Amino acid sequence: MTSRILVLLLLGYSLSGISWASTLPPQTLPLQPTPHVQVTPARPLKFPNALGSHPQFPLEWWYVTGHLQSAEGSRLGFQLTFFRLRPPKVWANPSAFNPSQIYFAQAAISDPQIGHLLTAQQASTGSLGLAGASKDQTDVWLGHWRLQQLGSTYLAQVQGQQFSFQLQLQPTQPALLEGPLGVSQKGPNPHNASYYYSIPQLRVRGNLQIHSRTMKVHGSAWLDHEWSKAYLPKNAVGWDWLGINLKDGGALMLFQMRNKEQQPLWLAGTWRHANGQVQYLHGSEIRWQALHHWRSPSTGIRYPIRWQIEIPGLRFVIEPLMQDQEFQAQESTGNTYWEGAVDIRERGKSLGSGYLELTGYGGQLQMGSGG
Amino acid sequence: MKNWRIPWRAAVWLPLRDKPGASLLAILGVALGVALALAIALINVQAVDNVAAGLRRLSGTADLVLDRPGGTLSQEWVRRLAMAPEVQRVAPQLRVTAVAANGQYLEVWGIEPLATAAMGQPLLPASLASKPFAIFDPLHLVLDQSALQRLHLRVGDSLSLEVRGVQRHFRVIGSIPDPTPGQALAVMDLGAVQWLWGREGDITRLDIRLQAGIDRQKFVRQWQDALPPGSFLRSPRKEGRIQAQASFAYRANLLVLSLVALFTGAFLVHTTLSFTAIRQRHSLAILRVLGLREREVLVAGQLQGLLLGIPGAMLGVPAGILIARLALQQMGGDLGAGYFSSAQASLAAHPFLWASFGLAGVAAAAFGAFWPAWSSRHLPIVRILGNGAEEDSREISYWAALPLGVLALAGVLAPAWQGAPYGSYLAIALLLFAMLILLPGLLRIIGLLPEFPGALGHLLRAQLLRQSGRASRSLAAIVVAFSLVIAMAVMVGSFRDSVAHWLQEILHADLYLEAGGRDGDTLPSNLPSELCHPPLVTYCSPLRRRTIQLLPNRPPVMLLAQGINSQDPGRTLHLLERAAPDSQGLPPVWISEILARLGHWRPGQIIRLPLGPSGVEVRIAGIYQDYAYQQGAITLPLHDYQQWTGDKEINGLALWLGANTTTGDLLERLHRLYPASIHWQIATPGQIRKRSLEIFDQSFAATYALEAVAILIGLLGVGNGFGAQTLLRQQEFALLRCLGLRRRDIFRLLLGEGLLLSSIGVVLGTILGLVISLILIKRVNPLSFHWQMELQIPWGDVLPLAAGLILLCTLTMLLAARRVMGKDTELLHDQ
Repeated sequence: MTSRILVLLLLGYSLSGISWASTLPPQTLPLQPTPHVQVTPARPLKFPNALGSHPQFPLEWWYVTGHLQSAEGSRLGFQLTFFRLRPPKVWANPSAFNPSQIYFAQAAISDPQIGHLLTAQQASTGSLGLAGASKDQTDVWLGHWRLQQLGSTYLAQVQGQQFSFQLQLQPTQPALLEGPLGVSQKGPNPHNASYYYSIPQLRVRGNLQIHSRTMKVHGSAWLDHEWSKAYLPKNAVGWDWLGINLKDGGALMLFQMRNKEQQPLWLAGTWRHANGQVQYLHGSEIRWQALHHWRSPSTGIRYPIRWQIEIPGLRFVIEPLMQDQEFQAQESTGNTYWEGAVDIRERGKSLGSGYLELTGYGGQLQMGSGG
Repeated sequence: MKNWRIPWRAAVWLPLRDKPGASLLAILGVALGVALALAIALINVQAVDNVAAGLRRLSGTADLVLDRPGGTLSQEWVRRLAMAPEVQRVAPQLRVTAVAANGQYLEVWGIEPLATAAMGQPLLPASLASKPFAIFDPLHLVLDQSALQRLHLRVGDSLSLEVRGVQRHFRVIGSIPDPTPGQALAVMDLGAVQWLWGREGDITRLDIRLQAGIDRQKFVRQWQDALPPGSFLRSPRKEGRIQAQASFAYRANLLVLSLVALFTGAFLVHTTLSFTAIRQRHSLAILRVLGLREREVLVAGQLQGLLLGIPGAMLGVPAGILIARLALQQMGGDLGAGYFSSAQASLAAHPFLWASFGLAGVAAAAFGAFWPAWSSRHLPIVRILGNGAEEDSREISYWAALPLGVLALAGVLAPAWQGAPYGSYLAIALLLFAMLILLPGLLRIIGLLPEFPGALGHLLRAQLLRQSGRASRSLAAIVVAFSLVIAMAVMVGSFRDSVAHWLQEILHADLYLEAGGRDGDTLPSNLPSELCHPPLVTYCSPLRRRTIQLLPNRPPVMLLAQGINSQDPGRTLHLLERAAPDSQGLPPVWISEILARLGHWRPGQIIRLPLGPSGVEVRIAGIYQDYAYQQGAITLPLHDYQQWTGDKEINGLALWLGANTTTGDLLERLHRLYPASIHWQIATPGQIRKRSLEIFDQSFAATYALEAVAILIGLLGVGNGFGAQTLLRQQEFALLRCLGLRRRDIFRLLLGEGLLLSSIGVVLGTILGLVISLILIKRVNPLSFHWQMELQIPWGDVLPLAAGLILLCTLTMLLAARRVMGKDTELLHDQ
């Protein structure tokens, strides 16, 4: 109680514009010690610690994608991503503006009636708590944007110039570890790995405003949470990632890391069957084959947006909800990538829906270079 | 408009072509007038545009700017405003200064790089996109072009800066174009600035972008009262307007002055066409007999005006653009008056202004053409054809001057409108008109002069008396021009005298010491205790000078906290008014006359100053004269200021030296104590006076240039008028030669006439000028600049000017008459 009063008093004083003469830093500016962290099966991913943020790690992201249906019946895709970066050097600067953590956020809406992505993005340091992430539970925010765990549900809130949404995401299944012990290896070197879990088959309800049109929406979504030190292998330029909510209740995640020649240098996947059995897929078991390329009229980048994929016991085709789902993130992470809603079909029959992410087609990814 | 049957060649073209020199001079006069007025207008518009656009660009896509002039804001406001649901994004800044190794002060802006980029503010180079963490290094900074040039640095170099007394080595990681033209600037991470400058928790400015659809006015109303005292929330556009308003009066006055040049140009056309009209009377009378109607005579006159005006305007507009471009390059947007610090402006296209001033030139010429045409419109044809009388029989009645005088008086008494005394300017124009109407009558005072000796003298006197109307036309332009020159000279002289006198009165100390010109340029706080000991120094008076926002929608005013004796403030300030003794015991402040007028404040009034946590109530104990701070100044005891704000910084120190101390001794000791002091500004009262008056003169440079052009146009008028007059008198001269006068005699006759007319013109111009200067000093200056001054006629300037002009004028007349004198024998043959 006493400390609270003291805090209030201090706040009152600082509001009134009196500043205390603070001592000046020494000639050589002190650095904060760099935390020693490592992604290793020796320290498996554990709940509930996994739910919160891991600020000691250089890179972390939360990533929600999903398919929506409006009350009028139109189909839409949405994505919301929060990134947290710890710069390679952090000074022992007591200022509230010390850039010890940097946050980016990106959101997009895929509306086939519009034909290209509506996007919004933000970037901020964690100064004054205007952006931040809780260590105790899933709660990450940047300005008025937020992804927050409330009890068992998640709330996703975005306010952009062209669109905004407030969505409730209700888990229907437990979290899925995207690798043995929650460690997802990203290349031949086990050093390139991340802690990674997903919550597929989220039930979505909420409101979406596009321009000034408000609609009630429902649908299904997928949440990824991943943190790492050095996830991208040295010779990788990008990756293709796919997350699918299967109609039978199963969930499938596949990714391939590509080298400069755009050849796969590492493939992996996780298939949780409808009965709850988890199957980790190895590179030799997965085949990605591009069926159709699309060239972006605004960047000139060529993306393979239709694929045929084969894994043991399943062969299917990925069909994008619309062609142009390219995201130019100059105002946040600086990357340009294709990320869009897709449908999964097997001989014309729909198996489920998901999101496809294609990165590194326009040049090496920048943001991942923290590792 | 039907059935015009004007014989173009005979009525319009030939009369002008016959006198190509005079017509050319008239065109030149119009061109000069247009060029000058347009140049001034262009410079004005451009200067304001540049200042406003610069401020807008600096704010990026921000809707509002929160700042607290001269003070700081707690960073808590960043959080509060950023969290408000109406706010989409905020970008805070902390602006500080550092000293470079060469002693130059460098302004350093601490920014939040990601917020700045999101706000689209031009403060980070695009090259940093590939190394996004670089700017977060506390010893990395970005310099603008001016800083790179002044410090002789390139990107990649290291830069040593003294920061709060500590030498720190920074690396230049990028460069940006000057955000404010001409200002040397470094941009760094805000967190680093708070840390290295020991300013944790402070910001100085916050740019705010609102969510789409939020009403800006409503948001400002909602927040303004909650904000700390002295802080303001306003749109970047408004910020620009307030900045521009600071110099509005100066620019409005300059524009009016430039219109005078155009006005003089109109008189030149008037002079030229008057003589054309007289010469043309015979042909016009014949045309009238042949059926030309009266109004067609009028139209023909107007066409002649257009014939002179259109080429004049077409020459004047490009010339004006050229002058404006050169002036902007050489002197900056404020023409050296010091409003926009070193702001270099480039000129944009303003077709509307070009067209307006071109049309104004044509209109001036048409206006000049109207009277001659009007007076020759209804001349008795038979009389002209009969005896060829060349002198006007029908002058405008002198009584017409009376209503003009009454109107002028009303104009003088009228209040200022939007900060510019247009009524007074109208009065000046009316007085000039009245003078022109009265001029022929006034010339008849020659009749009051004693008889001139000799036959030539007699002839001279008779000539002038009989032809006063014609002489007045020659003189009109020069009387107008010279009266304005005298008016300005008297005004500037009085002003300069008042400033010099004031400087004498306020500079008591032996030596003045200052760190620099800005709020943040401070002296070491232990300087007084280190330096101020007898016998070297007997007394020291420290000064804290910073800006403070006292009046909404006005630029900040200067706050001067200094040692001041509340019982005897007159020792420090030149007091104009004092309040009655105070019974409430409120702390006293003194305000400058300008501030008193801007704020409508009186002595004894209680005002609230935005100092300290919640502001303080103070009582205005007096009003003092001040010529230093044009936006207003407020003075209060240093002790009070420090108590209220906790701010112990000082920017200046006034020193009284011991009896046996020289300035050199003191400087030596100072440099031993503080090696950095070689970069301080140290001056004796004499040096300050000299520098102040230099700045004063510089700020009137543009005015002098305008006067010179007005005189030039006036002289063109004299030349044209006298030349035409002598031409008309060819017969007379020939006759005089017949009667035995030698050429030398005619020359002497013309010389005498020239001298006499010039003298009378100059004397009349001087008298009128003195009247106008009274209007300038007693009305224009107090109304537009809030400056009072005592009328001081600088005879030392006026008399040589008058003598010089009489000589120039006479010379012009003789040059104009020279051609006639060469032709008299031929004429005689003809006769």
